[in-house]
Amino acid sequence: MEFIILDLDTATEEQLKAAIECNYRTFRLMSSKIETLKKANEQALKKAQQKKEETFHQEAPVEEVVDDIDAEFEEEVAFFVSDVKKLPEEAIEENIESVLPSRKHYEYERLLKRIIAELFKDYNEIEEYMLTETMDPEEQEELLHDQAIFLRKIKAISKQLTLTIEEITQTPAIENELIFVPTSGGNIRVFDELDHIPSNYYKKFESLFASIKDGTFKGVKKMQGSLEGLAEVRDIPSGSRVTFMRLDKNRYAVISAFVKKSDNNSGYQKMVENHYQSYRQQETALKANLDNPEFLELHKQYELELFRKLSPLATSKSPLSKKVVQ
Amino acid sequence: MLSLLRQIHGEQSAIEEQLQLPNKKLEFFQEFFKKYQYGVMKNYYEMDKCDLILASLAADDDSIPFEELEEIINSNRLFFEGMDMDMYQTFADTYINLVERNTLNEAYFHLINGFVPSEEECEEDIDKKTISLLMQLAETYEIPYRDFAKILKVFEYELALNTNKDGFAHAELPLMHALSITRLLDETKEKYLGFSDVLIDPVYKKHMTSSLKQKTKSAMQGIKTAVEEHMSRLKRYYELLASEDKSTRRRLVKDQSQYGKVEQDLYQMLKFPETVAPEKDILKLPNASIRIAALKQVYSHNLAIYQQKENEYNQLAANDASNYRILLANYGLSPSDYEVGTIMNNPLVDVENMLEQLQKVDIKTPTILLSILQTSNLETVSNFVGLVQKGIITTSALIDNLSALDPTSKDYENMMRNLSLVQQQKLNPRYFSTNLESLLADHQLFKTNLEILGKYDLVSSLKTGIDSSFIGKENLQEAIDTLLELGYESNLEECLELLNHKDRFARLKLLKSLNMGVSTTEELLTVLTTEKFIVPDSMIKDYLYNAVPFYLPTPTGSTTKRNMDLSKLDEFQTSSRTYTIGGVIISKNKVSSNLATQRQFARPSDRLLHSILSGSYLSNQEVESVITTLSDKKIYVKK
Repeated sequence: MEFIILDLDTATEEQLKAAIECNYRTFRLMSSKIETLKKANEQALKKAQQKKEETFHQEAPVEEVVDDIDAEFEEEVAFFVSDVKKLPEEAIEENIESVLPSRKHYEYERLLKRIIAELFKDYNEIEEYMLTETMDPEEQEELLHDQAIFLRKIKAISKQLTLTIEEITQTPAIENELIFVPTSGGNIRVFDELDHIPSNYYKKFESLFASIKDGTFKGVKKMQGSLEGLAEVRDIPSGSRVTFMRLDKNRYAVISAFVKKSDNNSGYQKMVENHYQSYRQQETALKANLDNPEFLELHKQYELELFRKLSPLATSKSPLSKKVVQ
Repeated sequence: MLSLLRQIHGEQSAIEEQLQLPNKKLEFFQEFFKKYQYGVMKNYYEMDKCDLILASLAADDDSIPFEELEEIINSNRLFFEGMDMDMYQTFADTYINLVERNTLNEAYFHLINGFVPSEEECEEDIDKKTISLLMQLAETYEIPYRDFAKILKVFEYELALNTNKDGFAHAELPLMHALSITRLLDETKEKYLGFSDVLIDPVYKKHMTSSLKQKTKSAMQGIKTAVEEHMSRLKRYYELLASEDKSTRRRLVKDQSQYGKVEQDLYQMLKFPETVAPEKDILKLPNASIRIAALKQVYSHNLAIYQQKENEYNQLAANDASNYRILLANYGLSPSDYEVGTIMNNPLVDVENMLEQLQKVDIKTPTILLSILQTSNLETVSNFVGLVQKGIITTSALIDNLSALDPTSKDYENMMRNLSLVQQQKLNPRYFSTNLESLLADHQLFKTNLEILGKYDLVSSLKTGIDSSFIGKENLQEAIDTLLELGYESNLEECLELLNHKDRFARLKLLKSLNMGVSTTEELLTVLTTEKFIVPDSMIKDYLYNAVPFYLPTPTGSTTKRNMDLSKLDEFQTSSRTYTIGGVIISKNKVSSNLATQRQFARPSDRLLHSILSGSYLSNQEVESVITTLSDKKIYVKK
């Protein structure tokens, strides 16, 4: 589709006539094609516009709320803060270390600082209360006393944070003792339970028991409500759990070992409650035996057996004693 | 064009003149047949001999224009009236003689110039004698020689017919024929009239033999037939002439109208250069040169329109979706119909240019290219590529902020205005280019924050390579005040990027309240950037205690307009930006800003204290310390 171009100086009438006619025909054809192209382009643009509108009319994606709370850490904090708060005022400085996580804990400093923050929060609540509320001198004295305790604990924990390497090395490492809670039939419950758990979980359980022993309390979670005092260490990816209770400064009653991936499961809740109730029935007897060297020695043996069972590289093949000598 | 229009006007005028001109010949014949009603023999007898000669000559040929012929006849009327067949023959012989002797021109010469040959000449030269005889004949009829010479022309014509029409009888010669008719009419006029009398007169009629009657009647009938034939021939010529005249006039009117149409067409071409001009009217013009000139105009005029159309067609054809697809495929793009549709908002040539430019700054990822082509245009892409090439922004920053490439977006507008402001303030645009967020910030906010940096003398802390997105964030002054009051003035000077984390400054407040302050800038950055801070950010407010609200003077509602003299605080100035009052660091700018906005205090000292404490996070002891220090200096009066 091209137009005829003439040299007007030499063009004849016939050539002019032919060129005019021919060019006009080309022009008509071109105009028609232009219209077609325009329509095609308009349709494409219209289609695009429709699509754009459809896209814009789609519901905006719900913005994902980013939860900045590290649940595992928060549960560990709750576990330790609970023990710190329970620490009697008589020997705060002496006993503070026993209620704190082991230095081996990979978030030791963070945990301690957070515990301080928690104590300071309580301190400030009292401060604010005293500023805003009227009270009698007795109450005020009581509150000031509480504040003083909080400050002592904060100071004691802060001291742990500022210990020199020498001071740390002079301090013996924590080694908690495990006391194994028996079933009503007299068997050690965790041994029974481990017998029914595939051995590929043992490595996880080994680390959980070890974390109770060294005070790092892997993935520790403090139970709430009716399960007051009960805690569990967890390997969250595998769902391996060990429930335990603190018996004294460095002894922990090992109640149960099991695999459960979800916390929000009625079966799990029921099982934990049953084990807790079972423990409660024996708690007095267990605590009463804490001064009994034979009892302690026996549980040391159980402990050795436990780690032999859980560690495939263990040398001793002797079966675990399942009967408890009360 | 104008010369063509002039030519057309000229043609129109000429036609108009032509139409106005009388057709003398036609008028003559009209008059002729008016005078001598066709078919009425009686009228023919009264016919003027010269009229018949003129009509006969005029009807025969156009060699001599009618006006000239009429003039010849009229100026030699006496001669023609007196002419009979003998005279005709004599004159014809004389003429032939002159022609044969090749002296016709000489005869003309003598007659026209009135040079009468002398007797001697006549005696010596027979030709001269002939000429002399002609001149004598003119004298006889009292006709000027010059006019008489024209008779020669009539014979030239008459005899030329004879010559040309070889073998034709004399009756074919118009003059001779006319003379013959007049002779017949003359001869029979009396007879005709006499015959009539006879027919009327019963005595004469009685004595007339039937044979004579019959002979007379037959003779009369023969003459009548001859006359009527001649008149009929003249009549036919007249009718033909009338028809031709009508036809000529019709043609002239048509031509005139045609010129008018073409003239209109040409004016339309001038008036509407975008309208295609027609050539049909031009083709009907009688004048070839005008036709060609007009065709050239139409050709050129239309070609200009066609070429525009051709450009439009070429552009549209080039901008066809398939062409876009081909181009995009070369860059690894295979867009959907929807995507092509949006890209087609830009001409193909622009899209190609955009793609080339984007390649130069290493933007080659198909999805990114597609996104840019869908929302941007050539000018915007060129602007941004220019900024990348000058090192003002980085390719990665551009990729992270593709919305800026949409020229209709607020981001684009903000960026251009912000860059312009940076230029006005003679700042290095690279201070803001690591993270485009700052340049894309709302212009008013960007401007305000630059002013704030100036107010705190922190502009010099802007450096290339830093992430200055804080410049596009709200509450910059509050953030600076917080860092200053937490004691991080030198860290701030060293690293303005701390301001990017103002949302996490509560962490620093918490650490300070826990007496866990950090000192180095690296530590600060670690605290502000770690995802494992001791308390989740969403919960920090529960751990922070601020005594200030418990100590702030309560606004009274009444307004004090007394200006507080800030120079009283000069003694507490520890840096150009801070006071330290009772061990507590207070931002100077915060105090002055608060003073400017907080007026509703009955006591000026309350207003000052409020301005000092407002916005700070302090413990009871710190607030007490501030108040006590100010009281000791009698700047603040305790209630």
